Amino acid sequence: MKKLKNTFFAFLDTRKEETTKESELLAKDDRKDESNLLKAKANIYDIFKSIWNAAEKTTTDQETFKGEFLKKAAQIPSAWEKSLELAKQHNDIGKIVMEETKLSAVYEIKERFLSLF
Amino acid sequence: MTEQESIALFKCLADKSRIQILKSLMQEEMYVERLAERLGLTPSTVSFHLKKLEDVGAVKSRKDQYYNMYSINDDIFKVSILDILKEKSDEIDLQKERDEKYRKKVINSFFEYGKLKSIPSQRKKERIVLEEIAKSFEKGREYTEREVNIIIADFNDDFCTIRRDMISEGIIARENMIYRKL
Repeated sequence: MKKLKNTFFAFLDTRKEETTKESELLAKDDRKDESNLLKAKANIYDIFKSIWNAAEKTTTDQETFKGEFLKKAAQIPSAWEKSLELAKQHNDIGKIVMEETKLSAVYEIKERFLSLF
Repeated sequence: MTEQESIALFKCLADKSRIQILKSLMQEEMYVERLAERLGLTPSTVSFHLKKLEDVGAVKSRKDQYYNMYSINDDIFKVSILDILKEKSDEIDLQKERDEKYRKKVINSFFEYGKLKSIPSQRKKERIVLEEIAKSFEKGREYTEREVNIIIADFNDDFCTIRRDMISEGIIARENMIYRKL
């Protein structure tokens, strides 16, 4: 579990760093709005560290942990998914792009998590 | 174009992606996916920028079968920056509104049923009060000191102080014992 955690956390840290760097480059390139979207995306990676830590506290069994993590990992972005649906209904492009960007990080993280187990 | 509209336009244009979109649209009208492909952006990002550009009137769109075709709104770019700067500032109007509100507040506090309750100690407030009294004077007409005193006494018994202050504030002028409103 410890090795898995280290691998997963290293992935989150790397992706956060890459996304932050990309955001900074966009800001320097006078693309502030796109830079802000990536800033929001970069924050998502830390959330999943917290989810791991919380799930880890509930059990020592790997399978139970996996279920617990995925349950929590589905709960948090569900509000963003709802918000995205609502934004699509109202053709709120700004909100659509923001929620899609955040959710893209979530899907990427989940995929990485599942590849570890 | 109002001041607020021009600020919104300039803010919107201060973005490289949006400038690139406008440059592409200078060539011909395009739909989202085409712009996304040309500029290496996702269609969602292009839609996001187009919405911003449309909101400030920089681009316009029309439905063409399945696509929304976007084009430059020439009219907005034909306005010169000098013309925008020549526009009357909304801020000046707001400031005038704020000044008038303050003026009314001072008048309401110091006048009661047309009488001046007391002479404000604050110069700014006193000036407002004196200007209010000066409304009883006709511009261009000459007044004797007695006439001036009678008019002021209608507002407050201390007509000497008020008359003197009106002169020092440049509201009325005295020459050879004859007074006139400035």
